Amino acid sequence: MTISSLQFFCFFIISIIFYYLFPKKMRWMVLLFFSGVFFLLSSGIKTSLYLLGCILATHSSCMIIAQRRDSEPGVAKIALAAGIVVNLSILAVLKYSNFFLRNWNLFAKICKAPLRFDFEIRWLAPIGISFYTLQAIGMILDTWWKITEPEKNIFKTALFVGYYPQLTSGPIAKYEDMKDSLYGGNEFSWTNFTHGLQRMVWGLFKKLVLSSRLSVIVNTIYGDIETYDGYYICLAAGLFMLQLYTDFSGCMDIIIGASETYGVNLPENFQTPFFARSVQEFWQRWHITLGGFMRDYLMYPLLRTNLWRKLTKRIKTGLGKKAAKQIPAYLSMLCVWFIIGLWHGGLYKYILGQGIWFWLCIVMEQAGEPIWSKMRKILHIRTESFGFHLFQSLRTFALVCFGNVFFRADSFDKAVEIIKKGFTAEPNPWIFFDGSLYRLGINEIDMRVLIVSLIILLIVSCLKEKGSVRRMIDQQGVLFRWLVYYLLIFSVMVFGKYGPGYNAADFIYRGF
Amino acid sequence: MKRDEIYSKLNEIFRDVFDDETITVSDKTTANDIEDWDSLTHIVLIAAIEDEFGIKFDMRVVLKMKNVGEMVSIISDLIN
Repeated sequence: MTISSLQFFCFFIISIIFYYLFPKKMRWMVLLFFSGVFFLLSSGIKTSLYLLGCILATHSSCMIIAQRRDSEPGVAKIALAAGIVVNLSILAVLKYSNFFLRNWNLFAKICKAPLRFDFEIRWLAPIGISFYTLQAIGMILDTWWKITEPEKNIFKTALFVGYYPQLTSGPIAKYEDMKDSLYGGNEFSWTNFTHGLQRMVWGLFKKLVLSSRLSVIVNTIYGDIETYDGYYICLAAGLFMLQLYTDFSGCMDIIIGASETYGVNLPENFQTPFFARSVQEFWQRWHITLGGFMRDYLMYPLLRTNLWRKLTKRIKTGLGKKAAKQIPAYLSMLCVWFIIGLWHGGLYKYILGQGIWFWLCIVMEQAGEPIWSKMRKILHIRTESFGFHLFQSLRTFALVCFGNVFFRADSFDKAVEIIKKGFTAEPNPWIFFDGSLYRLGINEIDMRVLIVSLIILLIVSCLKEKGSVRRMIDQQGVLFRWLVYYLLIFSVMVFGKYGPGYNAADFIYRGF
Repeated sequence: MKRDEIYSKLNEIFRDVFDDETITVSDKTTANDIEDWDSLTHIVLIAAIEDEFGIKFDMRVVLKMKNVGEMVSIISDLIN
């Protein structure tokens, strides 16, 4: 069941009615029931075993850690390791088996080893496994670090791990931040309810009006790079980034909005990322909860290991203070970015395009800062001017688009071929003026709808930089407010791409 | 060790980590008050404080510390 389908909205409305019909103490059970239904409708009964395994491992691990930490620290440590290993193993087997096999084959070829695997394994992974596995690991580590008390009721743990709005694409939340609103049985709030619905409609607008149209153009170009080269490739790279943003952030709007109607607040995952002036800042605004998870549960513990501290001291003695600050930090970031790339999928296109490329950009930004600073001085650049900020944002956008060519392309080799086609083909700037754009799968009317919608998105993003758009709308008169709501609803109904002939199911991050 | 002495040492560490001799921290100083205090320098800072005072913070403290005042109280508890 996809969250932009009519089936989902019927499911959602029924769940809301039941949630508020039940007594406060039992409302979390309603959420658990509907989460189970959502999982079964979306993922099937066979894959539910993996989710159950994750819930059992996480709950047992947390309970043993809390009970034995002081009396038997050794047992608690084993429980910690076991909880993490079981969760990671399920994820690794279901998502990375073929990655391991392919790498083994490569290794065997180089070393001339006899054992080869000439087959691919096709496991059926449950919906949201990459997201809920991270949440579960976070819960175990938070218990170990005494950031949170363990959840004694296994059904409540099950709800935290398998809360249905998050199963599609996250956000990756922390148990400590969610537990009160998730289990508390929230009072019905008209404000929460209407705000949630408004946000869901805005998410649908992004997904059905914008992302679906952008995907047609992107698919046309990426599907035939022999015909579409030169500036078409640049156009496709830029539009894919917009497609990914409207798809993923639209999905987040629907999810966070739906959750808000129950009074359960989920963490934000996006903060107008295209206004970022550096790649580092971009990742502080894009998929925020993944970055936060990697920082708290991977980078910090890594930097605090004795090995890393010894390395830092050695570098300080040998290469000086500045190097001791930078080198260990960059090395830990390399590990983090490798894992972020791998988290997207067991393919080198993800490891390089979503991981190493961004690491390289951030290291260039930071390590090269003395050079960039000198250049700014020589060129007399006013660093606080609008023009320079715009240049920085466009540069960041271009770098991010480049990395995402690997994300979108079918394989690493294909991505390299696409980039080559973009740079080596004869320049063809006239495609932007001679009507060629209308031959990319969408007609003139659709193109106009797309352009107007992108302008609306830009205006809303600009307003968001200044504060809460929701509050701004709330402060307007009743007539204006309802005009905005109706326009949004009707634009989704009239211009949205949906219905039996159109598959809106494919949220890009749904496969993760 | 008194709070004043802890502050005196902390100021030296902050100036060293952030390469800024003008930094003077107080109870209410947070990451928002120092421009370069991001997630990476946070952990460098924590390591420098641990080395200087010969202590080891819990991860809970590393992740949840709200301001320098809280940091000083925790250091004081650990060394006294």
